[in-house]
Amino acid sequence: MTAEEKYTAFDAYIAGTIDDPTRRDLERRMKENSALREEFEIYRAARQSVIARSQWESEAQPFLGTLQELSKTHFPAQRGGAQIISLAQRRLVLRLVSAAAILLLIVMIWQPWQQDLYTRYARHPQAAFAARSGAGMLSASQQAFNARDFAAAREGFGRYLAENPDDLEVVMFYGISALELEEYNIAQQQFHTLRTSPSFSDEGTWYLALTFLKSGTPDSTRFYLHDINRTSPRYRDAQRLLRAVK
Amino acid sequence: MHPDQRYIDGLLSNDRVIIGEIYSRYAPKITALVLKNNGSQDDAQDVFQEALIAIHRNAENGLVLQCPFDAYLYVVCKRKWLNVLKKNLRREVTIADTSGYEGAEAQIDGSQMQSLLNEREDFFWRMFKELGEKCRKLLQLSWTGLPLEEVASQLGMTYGYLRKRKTLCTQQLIEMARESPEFLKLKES
Repeated sequence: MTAEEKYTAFDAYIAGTIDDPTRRDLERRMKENSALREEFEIYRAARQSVIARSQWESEAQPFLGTLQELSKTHFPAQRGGAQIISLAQRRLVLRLVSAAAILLLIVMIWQPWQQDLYTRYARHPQAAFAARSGAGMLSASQQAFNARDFAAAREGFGRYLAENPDDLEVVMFYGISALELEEYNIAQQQFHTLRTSPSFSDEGTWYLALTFLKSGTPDSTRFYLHDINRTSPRYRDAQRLLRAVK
Repeated sequence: MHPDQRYIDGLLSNDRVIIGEIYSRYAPKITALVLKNNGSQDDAQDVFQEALIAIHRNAENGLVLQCPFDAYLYVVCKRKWLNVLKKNLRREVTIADTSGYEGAEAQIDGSQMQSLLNEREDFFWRMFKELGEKCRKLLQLSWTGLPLEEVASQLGMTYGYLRKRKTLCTQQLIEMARESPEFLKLKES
């Protein structure tokens, strides 16, 4: 079961729209696999909590607005001024100092670590181009990419993009194929194109960072990792990789 | 019913005068409690606000006060701050408390306190808020029951790309929750 199939089954189970065979299969798997069961429970609890809280917040907006206004009057802003350093903050400083010491150690063994890092973080998505025009043309390239035959994939994506240059999803997979083939200039061009689009800018930035990581340019790697902002789903990975690259 | 029920009614009806009175009368005492117990002014503000939100939500289920409002509010704030300290210090802690409200805790039974603290929902809401904006929008829209093709259209993505992003965002949410030390405590409770 792929991750996507698993979460699709979770959603259908929670919504009560799951068909009987899939439900029985999921229940059997959860009975046999406690980690899967826990994953389901976490997802169900998170989904229910978020739906309940979102609904409440949307209905209680005027009340929340009142609290925020009154808080400003009764709790004047303390940021930047003299303030008691809380126990939690002192412990955070200690943790940061420890982390810095660990980072120094990592720098000392950079080179062999670097390639391992790329392998760890280059977890590419599966290509799936079913729902679009021209899907037939992409089918072979999709299969090649998912089978990690990046030479065949790149060739096929390149032909498709010659006729459909604005298909940014294919641009992304074309870029990833070039990256895996160490065609760094071609890869960079694709990822820079992705950065011009609001929907793909995060992926473009992330893959530029990976391109420079693979090609052994740590300064540029760090530059693009820093450019991934908190709103991106890649943010956590970027922060982890940043700590390892430094 | 206690005369202070008017505070509960004021919270429910978003009565600015009554809520302002709650702040004027009770915020200083809560601030003193938090500052005395390793907190900052900002911590006190957060605790006070979260306690009023928790009481508001409990009031929606028909809360009837049996004790003075200041005692009720104080106990909720104290328990919320205690939970923050336990989470940060990762051990059991006690709070220095000379408020005179020690007896009030007995007036709030276990199940009421459970729903007031609402730790489970708070935890998962906090995890969710740590996701990026795009992930939050994507997951919330998909949980409304809209077909994914419609969600993709609303977010300006292709259907295929949306499916991949949804998987990534879901994995991220589950992983963050599972890795959080707070999750272990919630499991045990």
